[in-house]
Amino acid sequence: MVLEIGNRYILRRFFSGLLAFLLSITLTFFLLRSLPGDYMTDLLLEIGRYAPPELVASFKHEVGLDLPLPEQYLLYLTGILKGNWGHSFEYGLPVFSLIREKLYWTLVLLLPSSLLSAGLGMGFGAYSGWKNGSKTDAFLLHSLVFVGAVPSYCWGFAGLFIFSFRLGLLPFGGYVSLPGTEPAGLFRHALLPVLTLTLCSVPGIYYLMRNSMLDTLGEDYILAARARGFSESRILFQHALPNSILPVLTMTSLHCAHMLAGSVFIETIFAWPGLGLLTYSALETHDLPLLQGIFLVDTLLIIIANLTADLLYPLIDPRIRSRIRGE
Amino acid sequence: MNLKSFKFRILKENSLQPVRSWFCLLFILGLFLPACILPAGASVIPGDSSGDTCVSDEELASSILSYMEYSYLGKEEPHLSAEELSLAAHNFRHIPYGRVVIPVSSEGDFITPNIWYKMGVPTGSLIYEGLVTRNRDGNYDSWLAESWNSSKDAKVWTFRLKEAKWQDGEPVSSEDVKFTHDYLKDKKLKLAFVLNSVERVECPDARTAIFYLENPDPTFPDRLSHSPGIAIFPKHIWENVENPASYDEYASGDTHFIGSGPFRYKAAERGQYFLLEANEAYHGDSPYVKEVALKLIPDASSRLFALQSGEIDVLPEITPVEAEKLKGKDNIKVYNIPDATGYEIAFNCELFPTNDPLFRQALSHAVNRENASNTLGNAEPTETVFLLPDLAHDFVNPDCIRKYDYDIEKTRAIFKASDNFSVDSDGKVRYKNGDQIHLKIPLGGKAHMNRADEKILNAIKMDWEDKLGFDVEFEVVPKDIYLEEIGESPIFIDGMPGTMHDDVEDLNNFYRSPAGSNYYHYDNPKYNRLMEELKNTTDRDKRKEIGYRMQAVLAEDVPTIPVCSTGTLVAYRTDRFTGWESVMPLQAGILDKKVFLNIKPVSSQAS
Repeated sequence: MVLEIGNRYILRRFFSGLLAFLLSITLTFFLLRSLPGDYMTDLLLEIGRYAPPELVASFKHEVGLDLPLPEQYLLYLTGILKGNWGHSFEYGLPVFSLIREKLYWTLVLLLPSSLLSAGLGMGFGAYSGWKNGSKTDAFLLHSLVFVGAVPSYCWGFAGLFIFSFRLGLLPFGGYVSLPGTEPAGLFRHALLPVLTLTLCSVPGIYYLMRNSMLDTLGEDYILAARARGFSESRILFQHALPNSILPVLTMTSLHCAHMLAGSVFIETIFAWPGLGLLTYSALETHDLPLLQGIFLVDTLLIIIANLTADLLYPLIDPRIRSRIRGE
Repeated sequence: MNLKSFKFRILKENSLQPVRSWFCLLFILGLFLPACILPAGASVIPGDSSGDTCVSDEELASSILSYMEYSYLGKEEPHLSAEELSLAAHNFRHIPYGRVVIPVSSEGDFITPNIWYKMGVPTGSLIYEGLVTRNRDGNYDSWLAESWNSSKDAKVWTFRLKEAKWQDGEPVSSEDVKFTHDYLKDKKLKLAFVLNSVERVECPDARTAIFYLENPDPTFPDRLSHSPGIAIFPKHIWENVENPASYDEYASGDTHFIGSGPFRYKAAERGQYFLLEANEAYHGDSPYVKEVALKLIPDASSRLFALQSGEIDVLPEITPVEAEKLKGKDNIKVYNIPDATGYEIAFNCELFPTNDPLFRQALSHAVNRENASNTLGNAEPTETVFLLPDLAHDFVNPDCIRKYDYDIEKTRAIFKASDNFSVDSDGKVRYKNGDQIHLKIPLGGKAHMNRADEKILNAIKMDWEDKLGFDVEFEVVPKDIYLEEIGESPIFIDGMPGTMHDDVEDLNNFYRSPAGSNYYHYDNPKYNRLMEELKNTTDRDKRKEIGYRMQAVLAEDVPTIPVCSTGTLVAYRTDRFTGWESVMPLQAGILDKKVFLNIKPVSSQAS
């Protein structure tokens, strides 16, 4: 299959991904250092009015922030290559292990919610587009416009209020109950945040799928299929759906990568210690090594998602495959 | 795909049909309403008939007797049920019972992974102790120190330690005190600045630690006590840790979080909870509470839900708006810890026009402190000079109180007397050349918590603009550049913890040392001399007298206008634990050893 896509195509995509990665981490490195304030000054100002300059200077020296920027940059790059992402100022732990731990909990929410939202969004979108103008289409469209218009934290609160506070069916948040209390299990802990994330992601995928389906249905080959007397289900499953799903697949993979950092509201409301909450806390405390690490992971994941979509595309779409071969 | 037609299609297809949308909205609301209208699910300590929050032997005996008469003789209903009787016995015998659950807003509030970086440890930790901590009466509570004294020149401080044990059973010794000092400095840890003035620590015996200071410091115990203070750490654990900054105590097996305090580490799930249990071998009175759980709930609204549902037992540091929401709710009470933060309108005494003392005096009469306090909700106006009377007590010079009452006419009269300003027939104040006075005030410092600075400014702005004709503009700046901004601004609004207004030593904030300026760029040689004299004076009465003179100078020069002090609002469930209000912590939070040694369970629900 790889040979079918072409080695040159894969290599080109890989190198453009690498270039984007280098560019992104360089930008992140310099942008983070141009931010006003620093970890130690902030911390000392929490205690009193002054941040004794000698303490701030000694801290900067200790962590290498007093070195010239190009030198810091080189150290940063070599550190990444060696797998040394530094230690978090706030947590005192290696950045990599901290991110790995938090990423795990983010993925616990993200994977089921991505699958659910992709399935539901595509299913509803395809059905809505296929039944364009019907009562079901109108109902789905208006309901999902409403769902999409309400911010994710409102849905989060609503869920918490109803299912945890009023009905007491689900735990208040977190992924684990306090020892000695009735254990709720990971499923019950994760249910509300997963459903909230799903609810908030479905409308975007739904719109895309519905419009893609509408576009596909307007294509000549659908008209030709109808003229040739193909059954409606054959037209839907063999012609309309495979063609309309292509742009949605690409967007869905990117959407999932973006959700990694974007689930901060959900993680905050449900006390879910994932990457979003970690990003928020690192930004608040000016934890430079941690911020660098988080942005590095975000960049990597988005590039991987892009690369995956790029590689999937020719596998799914024979037109692109033949275009690549033609090159 | 053609992007233009794509967008057009979205618009066309998504155009809302109002009736259907309303139907959808009503449908969804209809789903939620039944849940919303369903009901959500002050007690005293059982056996405590006198209401003194203790169960005496008479009270317990009477309850047991009544219960036995009911059980064996069939007499009238007993005072207490069997469950309540058991709780009364727990409280009487001082056997820890129940679990109190407290929310924290970030992981850093559990306890930082390396405790050497934790601020406010002596008062703000239940595991670790310092030698002494200051209390609200202006005296000191002893923790690891049994007694202490200083040499006449306040350069040598001797602390006699209690017979205490670390939570792993090792005895606490003066070597631990010396180790803490040496370790902080050797490892260049940031808390070392608290002990900057200490030359060395000596241990003549296992229970005596002597601090030798480079300069006299009559308030040395205050320095050890809070903001941030110093806790004492076990040498036998930490001497083996080469790099405390990256030492992960969660992963340190049997040695994690060994302190000498009333609670010890029991369990933790990183990013979720931190569970402590009563240290029954504590050298003081052991706690009434068996367990304390710190639970991560980062979102404020979720914390409110959690308190109302009973998921947590106490909710510290709530806003006045949140306090209002909780009013009248079943089993919930809100109380105020006064004087958590003092607010002031501060001047840069080097910039024009605030370098004119008459300008500062005049504005002091143009601050309606009542109004400003009312806008903050839980604030009390203060007209003292920098020190808060409830915390600094008799160190506050009574002659300086109400020197600058709210009186716009007095403001105008002072401006009229100044060479730099004039007052027109409408009472508007102008510069001598007729220009309007324009004040640009940066906001965003510590006073910006709950936007208090903005509220205070809005309360006084009307007077300054409408009655005095000023043009007042304010801008919220990021906290990172706030310090730079106030260096260039004649006026700024500031807020500092009450612990920085509790001792005459805090008047050091206005001292201009040979080494550099102060926050207010204030420089009065007479004041500076008094401050130097104060630093070298150990006698309490003498210090008080010097303090009075310093406050008199400040009252004349007005480098800052004290406006009000706000408290910390705390909500708690009355059906679980009692005793929250009877002990006031020195600092703003409730995570205070004294508070947690005082609270007692009131019902079996606390388990």
